[in-house]
Amino acid sequence: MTDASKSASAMGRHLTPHLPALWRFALSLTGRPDVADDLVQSTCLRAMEKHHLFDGSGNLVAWTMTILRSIWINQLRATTIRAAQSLDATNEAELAALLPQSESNIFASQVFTQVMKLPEAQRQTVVLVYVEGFRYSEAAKILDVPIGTIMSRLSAARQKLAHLNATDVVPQQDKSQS
Amino acid sequence: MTYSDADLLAYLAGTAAEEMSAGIEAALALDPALEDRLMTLDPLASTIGDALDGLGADRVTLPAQKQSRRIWPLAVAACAGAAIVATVVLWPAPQTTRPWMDQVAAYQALYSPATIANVTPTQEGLAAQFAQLDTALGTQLPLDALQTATTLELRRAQILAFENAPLGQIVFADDTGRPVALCLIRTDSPGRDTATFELHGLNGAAFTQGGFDYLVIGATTRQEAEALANQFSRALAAS
Repeated sequence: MTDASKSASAMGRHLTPHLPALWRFALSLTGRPDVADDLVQSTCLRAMEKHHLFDGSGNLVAWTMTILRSIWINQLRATTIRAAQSLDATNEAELAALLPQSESNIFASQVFTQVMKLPEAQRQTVVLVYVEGFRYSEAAKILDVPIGTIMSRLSAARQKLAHLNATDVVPQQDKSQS
Repeated sequence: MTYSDADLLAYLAGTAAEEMSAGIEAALALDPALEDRLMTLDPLASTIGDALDGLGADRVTLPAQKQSRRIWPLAVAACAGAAIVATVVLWPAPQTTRPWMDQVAAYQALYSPATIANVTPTQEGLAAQFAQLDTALGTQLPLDALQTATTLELRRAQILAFENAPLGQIVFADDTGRPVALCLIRTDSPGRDTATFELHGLNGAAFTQGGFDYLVIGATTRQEAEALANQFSRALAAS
């Protein structure tokens, strides 16, 4: 049982190792790395402020991701839509540069770009289940949808991304970098 | 009913019969072991998980918690009387705003119509106040243009400070006497279109142009804040 609920600073300590996961989920919601940065900051402040509401026996990351999604929906999304051109139109080169070793791992960059091109709802679900490893039922709770919706989103995403597993596409390192 | 791996793979591939797919999804809610099997068999899980492993590492750090900061007036306008010093607590603000905007909103939330009810400046008095702003901020703010840019009545201008940087506050009154402020502080950020938000219960709008962040705070609605911001922006750009 975690002591994350005991104080704001304890909550902060427990959140720190999960910041990359929070950021990935934030990126899947916002489609923009700069907005994802701000969203994670807001989320951590809110989680530390509300540390006493965390049930110490629950999943801290899932709890925090629920907060993150709530802030996005209730506070930031409308303003960001007015300020930006499109949430789904993300510059591919800018995205690829976010991935570690993107210049040498071309396949990983392709996968990342394809995931980010998914519609927002599918993208969120793919990140929660395939990247963060949440169970379907856990992802359903975070996104506040029935488990059947999770399955249909993943099914649609699988159809769009199936070519990534095609046997005639061999993931290769960029030999020129070796 | 039990499902074989072949059944589950067909489901994941989207080729299972509709009845079987419905049965699997209904069973999922009640059978964690079935959920585990599906997740293990999903052909894309490891492809995507491995590719995005490491994404976001070192991207963000834990933010600082609540801090106490002070807004100090550097000079007091003669018409305003005594300066107001407020110690405010920084609360998490919408992240389309800057920290100084949160502080200003908290300060502006102390204002009421009574605060500026007896502020009746002369044009010479306003010119002197604007001269103080220009000296502190390095600006040439267009007094006449800002007076006529909107239907608000310009009442007072003064210099405040945020973390030792000069901050200009120009206070207007609407036709009910309600105070609305236009505030500005120098920035290195590039120009930004108007964004609206609510801070400390006040409706606000912010934009960046010409090396300054601008904040309109205290409007009746967010739409009004945005309209005022756009009007001020045009007046500043035209001067």
